[in-house]
Amino acid sequence: MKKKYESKNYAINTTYAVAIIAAIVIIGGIGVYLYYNNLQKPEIEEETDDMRDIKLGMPMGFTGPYAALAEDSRDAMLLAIEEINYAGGILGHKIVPVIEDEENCEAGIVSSVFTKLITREKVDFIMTHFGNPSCSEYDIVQEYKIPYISGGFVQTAELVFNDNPGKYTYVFLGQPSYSLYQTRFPQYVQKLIDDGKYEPINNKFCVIKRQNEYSLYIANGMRDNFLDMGWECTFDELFPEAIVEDWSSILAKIRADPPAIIVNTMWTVSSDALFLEQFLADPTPSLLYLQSTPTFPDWQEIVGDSADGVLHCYGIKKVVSSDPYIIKFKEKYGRSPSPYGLVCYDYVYLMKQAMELAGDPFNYEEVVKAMSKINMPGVMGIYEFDPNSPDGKLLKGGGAKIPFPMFQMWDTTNYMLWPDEVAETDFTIPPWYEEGLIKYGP
Amino acid sequence: MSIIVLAIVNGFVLSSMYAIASLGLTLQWGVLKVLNFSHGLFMTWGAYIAYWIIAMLGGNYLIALPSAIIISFFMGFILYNFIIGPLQTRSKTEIVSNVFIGTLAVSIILENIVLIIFGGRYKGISTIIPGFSNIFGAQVSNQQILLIMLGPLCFGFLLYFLSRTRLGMAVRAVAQDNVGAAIVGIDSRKVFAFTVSIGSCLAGLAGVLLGAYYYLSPQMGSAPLITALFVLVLGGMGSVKGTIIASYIIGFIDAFSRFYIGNFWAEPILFVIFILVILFRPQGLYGVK
Repeated sequence: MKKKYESKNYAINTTYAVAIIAAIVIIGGIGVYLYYNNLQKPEIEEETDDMRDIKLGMPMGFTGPYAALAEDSRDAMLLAIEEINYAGGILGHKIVPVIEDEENCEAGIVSSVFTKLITREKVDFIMTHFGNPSCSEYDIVQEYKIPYISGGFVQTAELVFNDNPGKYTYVFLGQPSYSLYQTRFPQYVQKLIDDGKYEPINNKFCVIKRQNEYSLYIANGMRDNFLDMGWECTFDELFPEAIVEDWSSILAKIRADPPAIIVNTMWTVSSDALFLEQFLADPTPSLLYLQSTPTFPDWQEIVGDSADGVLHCYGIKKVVSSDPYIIKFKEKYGRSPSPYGLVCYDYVYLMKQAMELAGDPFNYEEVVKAMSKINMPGVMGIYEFDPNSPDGKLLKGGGAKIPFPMFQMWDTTNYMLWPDEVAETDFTIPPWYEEGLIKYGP
Repeated sequence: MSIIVLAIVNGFVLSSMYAIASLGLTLQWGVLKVLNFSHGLFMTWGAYIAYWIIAMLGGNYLIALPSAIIISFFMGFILYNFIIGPLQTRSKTEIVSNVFIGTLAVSIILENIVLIIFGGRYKGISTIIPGFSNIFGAQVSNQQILLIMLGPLCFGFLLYFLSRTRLGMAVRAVAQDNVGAAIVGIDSRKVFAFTVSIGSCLAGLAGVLLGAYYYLSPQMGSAPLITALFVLVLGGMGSVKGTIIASYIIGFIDAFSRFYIGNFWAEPILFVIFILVILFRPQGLYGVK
């Protein structure tokens, strides 16, 4: 019995040994073949820069919470690429998109996607709507010296640039500083009062925000500005980074001590839509400011004209539905673009202009230098990097560049109210105001 | 007065939602002793089926609700026969982890199918019962009132099914003693498949109700799934009665934390409770040690 067992064991070992030897012989053989083949092969002419296409890396979060924005961003970039290629490319080179999924934009995933794009796909330029919220990809593009434009997490990027002056020469933000978000609405409310267009029921405001850099940065800044202007904050409520399922607790606070101003920077389509729905069930005589969401097509579709009178500010010029770009986008994809579906289209043209100014798309150092010389009208506004922004990496905001207007929504359309140079209509008291005044007025 | 009324109403709404979201999961654990991680995505699918019927085909809830439930039933049947069942037979020792990973994979696939078909943008469907009602001076939406009623109704239906029907008794028999049930001629595989299908039905129903109350997104099922897991642990894994009681405990703690402590703290408080339960009563309220 023992003998039989030993013999079986021996047989197994022999099989394994033969298999390992065979594997070594095969792998060795392939290695020798490839080596010889390589030695004897006549040298193939290496592809020169004159012959090759421009590979554009497009990492985006297609399968995470930013999926809707990613889709729009990708489609906008592809539209611009198609147009540029149709017109002959950039200095005769066609653009080839290399699309990768960043999932939820977590640091590890973003870093590996960027490394793959640069080392394996050998991209010449990278652009995205969002990178990682803590900007983990900056070090990678800087290390490999690949020009990069990102459209998101501006407040974090500002901190990164301020803390590391001169370090990230290959990184650019396709956005102006968000500091204007902190001041625009408080200034506008004051202007309305000064002009006699609005008489608040009191000098109180409340702030609703969530545990998210963008939301916190804007809400806290706006709160401080209102406080500096002598307003009183009734409450400043922080939500976790999650979808809000019910607003009853917040609305109870609002109705218990109605503030003249409600600032909500949650910036989530579903949460903001639910807020509006529940607020309008029993409204207070307050102005309602919502951050960003009124610019999103899915918000407009969901809330419809119930959002009439909602105020917001966005770092973008007004884009009307008759804008040629909007028509093109709608014709191609059957839907209206979100703001990221505008800016990402512009980014491709930004890259084009930088490469043309550099005179060589593959001389990355010159392309980066050319970025600071750009002055380009785009769908979003006029693109020019601001030398006074942190490290000169952000676009010029305000004025005629990227105007940051105050908007008011009427019938799912956003109308520009202020600054005066871009205003197209006057502020109107929201439709819920009168009803609120009867029940909650002074 | 109206704030306390609102907090109580809110407590009932949240409790009911948690109960509907977790009953299917509890049933599956109670009978199969596996955690179906794709339960949240079945909710998402239920909501999107309703959206597809109402918003895209112009139907109404009378068609959408039964359709979502029936389709979810068949999806559950497929899930059992192609994923959970084979994993059950292949490994006797690591069933829980294998099924957990298998259903997690299914949930990722289902989420991406939703993304491909409907896109990532939020979608809205009309509420089942529009409008608001005044309850002791507090404005409560009719949709919330419907939710408050549906939680106990689902529980009652499940209880009736398990205790009064032959099929329900077979489910209980398999849950109590798989081998014993086989001896008296109950085909446990069929019962397992049926249980997963019923659990999926409940997920589909929860999805339609949540979709009508909130808005739809491919990720909409993940938050209710996490709460359902809280409920499952607190109630005692597999106990339907425990699930209902745990739903109401968690719902009211959640609601009162939001009203009286702050929205930011509601979730951490639930996590603290979760940790305390695991530490001091790991079997939950009605679970067996």
